[in-house]
Amino acid sequence: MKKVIIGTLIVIGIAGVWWSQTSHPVPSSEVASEEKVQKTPDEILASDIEKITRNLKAENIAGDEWKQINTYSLPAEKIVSKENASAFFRVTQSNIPDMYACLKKDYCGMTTRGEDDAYFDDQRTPAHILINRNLKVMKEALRKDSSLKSQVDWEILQELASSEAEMLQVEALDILREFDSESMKTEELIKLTEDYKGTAKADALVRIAKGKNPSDKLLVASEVEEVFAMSDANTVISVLENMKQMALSKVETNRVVRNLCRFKDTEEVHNWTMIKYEAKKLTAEFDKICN
Amino acid sequence: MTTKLLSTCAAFALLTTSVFAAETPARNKALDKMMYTINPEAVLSGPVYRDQGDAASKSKYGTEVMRIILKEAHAKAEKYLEAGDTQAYYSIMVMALTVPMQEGLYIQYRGVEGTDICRAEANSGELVKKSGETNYNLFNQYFKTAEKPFFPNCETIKTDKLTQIIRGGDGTDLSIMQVSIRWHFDDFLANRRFESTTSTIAYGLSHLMKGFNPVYRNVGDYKCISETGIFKKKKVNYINLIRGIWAGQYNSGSISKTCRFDDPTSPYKHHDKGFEKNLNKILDFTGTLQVDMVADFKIDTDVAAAVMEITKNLKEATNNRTALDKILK
Repeated sequence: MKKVIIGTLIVIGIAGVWWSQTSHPVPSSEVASEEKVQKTPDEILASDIEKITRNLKAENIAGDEWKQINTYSLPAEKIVSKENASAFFRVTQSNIPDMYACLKKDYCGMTTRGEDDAYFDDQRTPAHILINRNLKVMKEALRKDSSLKSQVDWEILQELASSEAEMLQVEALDILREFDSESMKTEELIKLTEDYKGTAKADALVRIAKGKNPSDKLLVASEVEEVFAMSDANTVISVLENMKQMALSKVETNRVVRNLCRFKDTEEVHNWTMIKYEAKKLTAEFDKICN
Repeated sequence: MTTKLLSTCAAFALLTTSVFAAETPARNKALDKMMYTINPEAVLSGPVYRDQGDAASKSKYGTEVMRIILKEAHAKAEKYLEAGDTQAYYSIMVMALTVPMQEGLYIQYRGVEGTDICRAEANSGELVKKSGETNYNLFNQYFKTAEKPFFPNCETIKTDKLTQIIRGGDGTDLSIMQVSIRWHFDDFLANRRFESTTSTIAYGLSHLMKGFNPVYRNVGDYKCISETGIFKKKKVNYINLIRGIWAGQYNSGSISKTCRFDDPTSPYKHHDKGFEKNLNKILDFTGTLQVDMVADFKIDTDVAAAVMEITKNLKEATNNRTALDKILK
């Protein structure tokens, strides 16, 4: 029995040495012992959220609206009704500029977990996620009660739409597109997307193309043509992948895809492979166009 | 050095196992500290790893996990295959096979028997309560719903047959993909994707692809991945591409850190070395997957053949996929 105990102790000892010396098998997250745990995950998560809420007005986080805004399993359409639209609008309209101010200042206090934690997504902090959610709820409130339109702070929405944060750009732009059509012309909306990249650019153009004005599609087609001529390969392919949803006419499609031919002789052969594949789904004439 | 020590540990473990219990392999106590205990009534979907199980059950488990990974990875990578870019396709497949080993030791759920396994501090929420009302409310919201708490207090669990889920050291990373609940609470947590191995893997792979697509398409911006080949055509180093996507998108949260693995002064070089080690295990796979601290999984012939096809295709720039197509059917 003694031998067994000694044997077991040796195993534990060797395992301990190995654990401390080896490169960790889960270095990104440091799966580690219970003794190392300082806080539970929920404490850490709550602490992240608290850093944001301390920047918000007390009355905006006290009510049921705030609780529901934070219930991400429920889509905005499910939580906002005609009856409560006004209350949700008031809370979101007030929260958005406060959260954006702290986001710009210091990501609302978001940090890594410590020295060994490399993870920091400066495009997707809890503040980004919360502002994105507030924008979605605000849009739904406006849909349910159009009388609220007169109270919208268009300035902050324009600021968000022209920000560098992809999670905020498209949602803010969508509210401007849907509810500020009197003062925001489609050309101006497209101008706001000038610096958008990748999927954000594609998503924005898909939404603008859904505009009621027949000339919207022509303007979107011109912008796509510009993207194909000038943008980086990732933005080009992202827009191309989503072009079907823009429902451009055959004439417009054949015109804009012409600008993709520049990739035929670029250094990145793999991009031309993907571009050909996507473009051929849109027009059978693509090979002919680029030959 | 590490491998040698690990082999020694395994030898001793075998010895002690045979002394204590002739038929049932010993519980891997190192895993106790890496787990939350799940409500026995919770409905989960996915294979359950049993360290007290025999070699056949471990083989079945490892095979099942690999099968799920292959199917989910194929769904994400398929457009590259259809477009004719087979190298991109196989690099996504290899990346998908590697990341769950790097992150969660190929374990999502663990089944274990014993009375001293549930970690009261991790499961109770008492610490959360002490730290304030807001924290306690959040804990309730995600894991302590009155009708069926996902992590119940240990004393309320009336069985010694437990199911657990792997977590990170500070508990904020959850599951086989070690998804951070700090950064992914709006979808992964809120939509309870951790209740299914398939959903978890799909979520993690989607996150990887958000890095893969922009980096691969703008590869000229990443000197650690591209090199100029003949006739000035850019040659992509697909192994470095995989290393870069994990280092940047997955481990740093930003594709601007893609070339971190190539920087000898990086403070996270040990992270990247660990990943390289696991990547090489996949690239050199010949039928048995050695997962540090967990087990050697002997993978069933059909799945093993598919994985070997994938790695060979990536290394040799070929596209032979008879075994893989059978798995994906």
